[in-house]
Amino acid sequence: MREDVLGGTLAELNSTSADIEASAVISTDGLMMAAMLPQGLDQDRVGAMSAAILSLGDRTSAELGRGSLEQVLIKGDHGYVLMTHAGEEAVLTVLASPDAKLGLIFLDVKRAAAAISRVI
Amino acid sequence: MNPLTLAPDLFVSPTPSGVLHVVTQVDEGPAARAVRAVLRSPKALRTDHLDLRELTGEADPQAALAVVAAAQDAGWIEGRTDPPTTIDGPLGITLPELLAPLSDVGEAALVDDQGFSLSSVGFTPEAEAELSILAAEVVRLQQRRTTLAAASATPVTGWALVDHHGTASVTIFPLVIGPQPFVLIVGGLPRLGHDPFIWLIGALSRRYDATPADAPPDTVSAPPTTPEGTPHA
Repeated sequence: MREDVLGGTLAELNSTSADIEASAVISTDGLMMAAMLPQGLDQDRVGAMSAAILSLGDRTSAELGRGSLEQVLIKGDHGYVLMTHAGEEAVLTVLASPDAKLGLIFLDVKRAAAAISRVI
Repeated sequence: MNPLTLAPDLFVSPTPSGVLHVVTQVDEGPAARAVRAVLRSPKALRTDHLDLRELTGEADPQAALAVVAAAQDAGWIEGRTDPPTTIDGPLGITLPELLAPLSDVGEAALVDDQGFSLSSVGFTPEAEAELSILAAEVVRLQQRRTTLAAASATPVTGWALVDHHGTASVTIFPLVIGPQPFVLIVGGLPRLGHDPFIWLIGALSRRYDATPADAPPDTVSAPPTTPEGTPHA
C-alpha cells in the first residue's frame, strides 16, 4: 500500500518534466523504498550512494554553519543528481538531464518530498 | 434591500485584472481570496452548483454572495456562458505554450525567486541566464520596498528595463502563488490582459496553491455573476 503511494508520487514527479529521468525514495540507511529508475541502474547502488551523500551533506552543512540541510545537487557532464530529505527517515533522489530547468525540478521535488513525508 | 442571488447557467471565471491583482499584490481580503479559490479549482465552477462557503469561507449565504459581488464589482471575476479553459498536464510541456502568448514578440520566461528557470521561450540562453539573475535581484528589491510605508501608496505590478524614451524592452513581474514566489519575465510588450495569462496562473495555482484546507470540492460549484455583472439584487 505504502509502496504503491510512493510509486504513484514518483510517477507523477517523473511525468512533470521530460528532464527528470529517474527518481527513488530511499531510507536514510540506504534501503530502497520505491523507485522509478531506468534499466541498467542498480537500485542498491543508488540507495547506498544517496544515503551516504545525504549523510555527508547533513554533516557538512552543520559543520560549516549552514544550518539544516535542504538538498544536495551534483552536476556531471551528463546531468544532475538532486537529493533531498523527505521527512526524517527518507531521501528523495532525482536524476535529471543536463539541460534541465532547475527551477521547475526544485519546486516539484520539494512538492513530492512533502507528499512522501506525509506517507512515511 | 433585496437579497443577492446567483444568475444560473454561468461559469465563474477570474478576469485577467483579477488574476494580476491577486498574484502581484499582498491582498488577503475576502474578494481576493475568492479569486484565488477560483484559480485553484480543478473543475469549472457553475453558478447553479455553487458551494459559496468553499469559495468564500463565509458560512452565511448572503455574506458569501456579498464577497462574490465585491469581487465582481472590482472586475476580478465574471460569469461566462462557456466553461473556462483549464490547461493541465506536465508543466514541462505546457509552460512554453502558456508563456509565449504573454509577449507580443513571443519572449517570456518563468523563474523562481532565486532565478532558477521553470521555463523559457524566445530568449537566447544567454539572455535567459542574464534576466534570471536580474529577476532574482528584483524580487529582493521588491521585498525591501514592501517594507517602506510609501509602498502602499504606489503599488507596483512590475519592473522594467527601459530605453532612453522610457520604452520597456523587458518587464519583470514578481508573482506570489500560494506559498511560492515566482518571477515572470516578458520581452517586448506584455500581453497579460488575455486568457493565456489566466491559464498560466490557473495551472500554477492548481499545482502549487492547492491545499486540502481550502481547495474547492470535487464536484464543483462556484460563484455567481450575471453577464452584466451582478449577483442579482
